[in-house]
Amino acid sequence: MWIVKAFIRVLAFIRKELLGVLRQPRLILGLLVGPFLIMVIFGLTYEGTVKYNTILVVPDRADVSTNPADYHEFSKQAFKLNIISKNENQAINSLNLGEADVVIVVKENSLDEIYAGRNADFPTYYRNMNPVQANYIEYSSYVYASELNKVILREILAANKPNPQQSRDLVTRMQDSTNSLDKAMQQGNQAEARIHVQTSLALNEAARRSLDSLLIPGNGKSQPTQQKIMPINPLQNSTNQARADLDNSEKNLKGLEQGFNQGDTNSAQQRTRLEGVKQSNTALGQKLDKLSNIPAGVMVEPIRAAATNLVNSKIGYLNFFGPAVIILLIQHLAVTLLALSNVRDRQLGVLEIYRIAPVRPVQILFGKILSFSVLLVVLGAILIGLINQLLGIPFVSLETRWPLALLVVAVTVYASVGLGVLIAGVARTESQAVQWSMILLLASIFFTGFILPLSQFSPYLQYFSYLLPMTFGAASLQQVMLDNLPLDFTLLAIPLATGTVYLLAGLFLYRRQFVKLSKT
Amino acid sequence: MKTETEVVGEATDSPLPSIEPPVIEVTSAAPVVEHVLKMQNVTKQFGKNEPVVKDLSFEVARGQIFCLLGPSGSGKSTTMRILTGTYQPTEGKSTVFGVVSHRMNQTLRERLSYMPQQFVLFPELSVYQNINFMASVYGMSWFSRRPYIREALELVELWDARRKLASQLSGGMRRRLALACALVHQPELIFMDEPTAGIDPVLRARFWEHFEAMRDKGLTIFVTTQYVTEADYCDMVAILNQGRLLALGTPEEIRQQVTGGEIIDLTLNEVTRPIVQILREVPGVLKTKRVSDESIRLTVTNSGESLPQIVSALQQNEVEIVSITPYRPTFDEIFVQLMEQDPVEAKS
Repeated sequence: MWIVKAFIRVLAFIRKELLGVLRQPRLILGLLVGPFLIMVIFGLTYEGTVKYNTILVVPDRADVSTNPADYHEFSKQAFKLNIISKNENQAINSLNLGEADVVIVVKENSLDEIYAGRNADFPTYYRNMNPVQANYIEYSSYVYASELNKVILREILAANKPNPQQSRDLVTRMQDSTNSLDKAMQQGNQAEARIHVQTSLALNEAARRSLDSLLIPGNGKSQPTQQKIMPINPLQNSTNQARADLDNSEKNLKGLEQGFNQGDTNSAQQRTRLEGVKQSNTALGQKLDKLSNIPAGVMVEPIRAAATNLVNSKIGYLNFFGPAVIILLIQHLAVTLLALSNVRDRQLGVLEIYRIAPVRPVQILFGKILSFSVLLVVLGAILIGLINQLLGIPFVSLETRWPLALLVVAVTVYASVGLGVLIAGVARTESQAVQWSMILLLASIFFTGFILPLSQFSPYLQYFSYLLPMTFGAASLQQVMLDNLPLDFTLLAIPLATGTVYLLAGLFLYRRQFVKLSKT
Repeated sequence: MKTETEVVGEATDSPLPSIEPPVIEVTSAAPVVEHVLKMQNVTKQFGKNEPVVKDLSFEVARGQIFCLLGPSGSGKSTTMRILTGTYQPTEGKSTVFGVVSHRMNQTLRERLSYMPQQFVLFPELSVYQNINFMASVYGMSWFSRRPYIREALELVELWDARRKLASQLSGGMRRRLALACALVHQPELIFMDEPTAGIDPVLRARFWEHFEAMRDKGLTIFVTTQYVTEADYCDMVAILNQGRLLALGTPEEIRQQVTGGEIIDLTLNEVTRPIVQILREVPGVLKTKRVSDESIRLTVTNSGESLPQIVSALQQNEVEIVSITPYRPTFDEIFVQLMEQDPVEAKS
């Protein structure tokens, strides 16, 4: 019988709290439409990439243009070249007046500095108090300088590297020399054969020097860093193979010369050596052709990052923040609703009625927790549906993974409601409850990885973040919605555990309020 | 019930005869009285402050309207909270249905009800939802509670307004809703903390009609009030001042305790010193007080016995009687008198 009555009492609180919310259409509208509208506005207006209005200060010479169109190719990265100026002071003044975000100065003596063996600086000025923006501008200026360096290197290499025709000419000359050697040997003209051997050796040396001058990875003698991450396979490395061909050719040419010294002009052994020279030449020709066909762009930028995100959905700011905002909202509402409900009971004096009525504190809390949990899980489900259907935020494997999303929302609600009960136990007035929940909201924005990655904080702060349901809720919902990897259940186990601790502590404080009344 | 008081009668300038601080002895006329509430030498002290209630002792019988009367800050709410088990007494013992108040279990709590002074129900819920909630809190099942909800709302004339939000109700309607909420689970004992405070006299009278109707159905009502005149509605009245019990009894008993007997207003052609002396010598006349040149107020032990003797004495001395009327002092006057005579009050 007492179980039935306990059930009736719990139901009374569930019904009362739900009716209390449902009776307030503006509150429901605010709960549903408010966050959705915020995300719509965010999705429609956030551009992601930052473009800083930039003034490029160029050397004050008559032959240097100040037409921004002429610098189109330099308007890269974060810098949008709006004005080309020849007056550095004027440009910096514009920066101070807020008319520009960045000023990049190309010094008159840049080339002289390079020729003098020094790096030429491109001073970059900006005025920005936001550390994130400041870092971004500095990083962008570094990238900008690197890009310019690449352009310069590419042009230098393109002008200086051996072109395929030159390689082919060299190999043709080597083959011609070998053919002439063959002919002289067959004619028994040892003197002429000796001349062709010397010519071939000289051409060999020229080819070797050409190979040594190539600026490509794997062609240096001491490159330990490169060796660590890109070990050279001797069998596949073209420069090494070409050198091996040259070594073979040189060895055979010297063998021929020794044979000539011993009076052997065209023996079978000498013919074999000549054949070896021919084969080496042919092989060398192929390799030099291959090496000389490497474009200058590849030489300048031999390694290019080819990052592939294995997440199974399109990555975007709205997609990333959408699920996190839902969790943030649910946490905030759970904490605020529960805390305010309990504090209001106390302030209204209803607690005194409950104290006299045959209802236990645990029944009151259980009823409230259940009602708000049901309300917030439904709210979470609706919001997930809205952002998926109307904002296009992906939900991979929706058909099979929606229960997981609901589970994540439910666990977040559980932990957040626990936090709300705890706050209600600490707060004495409604203002205090609101203040606490606002502090919690701020902490959730900064210390849960919502905006700034947790890895950027000290480990102590990371431990603190575990106390906030949002830390795990946001990560879990993002994982469930945006990727189809199995959900990491430790992400749910921790908020379940912390939520239970909050609930028990909150229940203890709530019961104490009841007992305290009688012991006052 | 009978109250015995010792009063020394002497003419005074005060509107009512002066009395010594009352020595109260209450004895029940009923052969067996079941006491629903009992307080025995209860003192309540918060921290090291002065005790809020001091050495309170009284009993409330089943089916009574018991009124705790006193000025603001006299300890009425604290006394009620001790009885409901919200506060634990510092000294003494308070019992409800024979059980120590702060140790009442859930089953016992289902038998009582509490109506706080302020409206503390939920403004965002309708009248029906509020009372439905309270019925559920008391464990009434969905099917069983419905007729009781209707009955309670009809009693306080709110059935037609059941769909209205509590926030849309007037002050009086809110009080009636609070009363209905307190009655819905058919309690045996109801505590009401100043239920009529701040409401108009017409509604106040209707509230007391409700309380009397409830009492007639066997409900025991423990009520606190600042309105002294409401004491007349009650079966038993306890008057508190600064945490101490000044008077306890039925309204009539308290009247007699304070006035020292029954009062008769006598109008003559002229009230002279010899006439006053004649009247003082009549057996049963306890006090005389000259009200004006033509009228005098007499306090007698029993007006039925004393009146013929007074008339006879005056006629023998050829004093013409213009009128004789019994005077029943209002409870306001009684209360003021009690306060004035309270030595602690006089000191403060």
